[in-house]
Amino acid sequence: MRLFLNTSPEMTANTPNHNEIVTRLAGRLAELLRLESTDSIKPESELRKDLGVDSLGLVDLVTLVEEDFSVRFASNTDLSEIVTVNDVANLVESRIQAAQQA
Amino acid sequence: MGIHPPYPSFTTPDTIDDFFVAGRNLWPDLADLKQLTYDREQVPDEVVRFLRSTCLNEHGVAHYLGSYFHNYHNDFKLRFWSAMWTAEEYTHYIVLRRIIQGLGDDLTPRDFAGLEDGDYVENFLAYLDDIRVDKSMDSRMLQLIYGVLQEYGAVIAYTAAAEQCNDEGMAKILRRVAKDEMRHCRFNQVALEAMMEHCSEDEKALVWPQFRAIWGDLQMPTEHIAYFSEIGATDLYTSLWDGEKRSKIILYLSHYFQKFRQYTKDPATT
Repeated sequence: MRLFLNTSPEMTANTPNHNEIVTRLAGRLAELLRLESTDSIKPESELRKDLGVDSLGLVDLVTLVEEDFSVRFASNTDLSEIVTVNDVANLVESRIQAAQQA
Repeated sequence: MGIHPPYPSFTTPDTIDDFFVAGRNLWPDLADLKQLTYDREQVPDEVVRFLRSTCLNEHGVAHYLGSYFHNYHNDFKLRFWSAMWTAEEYTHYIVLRRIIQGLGDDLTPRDFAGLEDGDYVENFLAYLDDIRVDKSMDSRMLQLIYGVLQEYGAVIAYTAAAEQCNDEGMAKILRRVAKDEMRHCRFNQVALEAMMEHCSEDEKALVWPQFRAIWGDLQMPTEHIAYFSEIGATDLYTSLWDGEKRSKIILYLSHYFQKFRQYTKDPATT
């Protein structure tokens, strides 16, 4: 799975760590799913099974993640490999790091 | 059915006109078909089932031009395009029928009769009206947004079939069909973008939510023809999609329509 990353200067200066990414993701997912709080969103929560993210939800999730973290999913990314909130966070984190090392 | 505000006609004919002349694939001699070995053992049953169903569907598309004429009302260019587009889909029917005949199968009189019995035009227009996010939205805009999804769905379906058919000659033909479908998809995109240049801000704001609404309840043409239910073929577009193909269509459509999200008044709530 590959991501094409386009980091902004702000992103480079304030690179979020894993926990911060998870927290931000949880917040956006709560907005997306219209939840009152992020209490039910854990790193191990499964997007489809636990949170009910369907194919429309995936469109919204892709859009929100790309906006929030200034990343862009490559067209050959296999979204079926992204199962949990943690998977999304790992993906974002690894690509941010890879881009900074490049 | 449908409300048609008095939009100005397109004033960017150069972008639209390209599609009337460039890249048209009329398969003039069907030469590629003559090269095929038609080894049925090499072609999985699922692919044959897809080819048979999509052949019938391509024949059906040409029959239901009326719904496109309805939605494009007095926009002559889009009507011309619709006729050319459906003619190209009919050419796909000819190509695909030759293939399934070569594989020892064929469509039956019952298939054609089932298609003719369908009420696709009425069902399809009712579907689009139901899914319209704003009742004042121009039918052309709605049809073009749907067209992007419909045609890209076809691209993915034919690409998946090409990958799974185990016959390079046949795969080449199916990729050629997929390329035609991508060109149809691009027409819808270019026409939609041209339309955006003449829309109000309120109208532009409808594109992203309309895309989401259609994607959230996407019904392909086969779902509007009862006969496809009878033969269990309403899933023909998606039957060969694996996780990778589903990802591809989600990412492609998300990325394409994101450009319109900026016009949405409150993107966070859509």
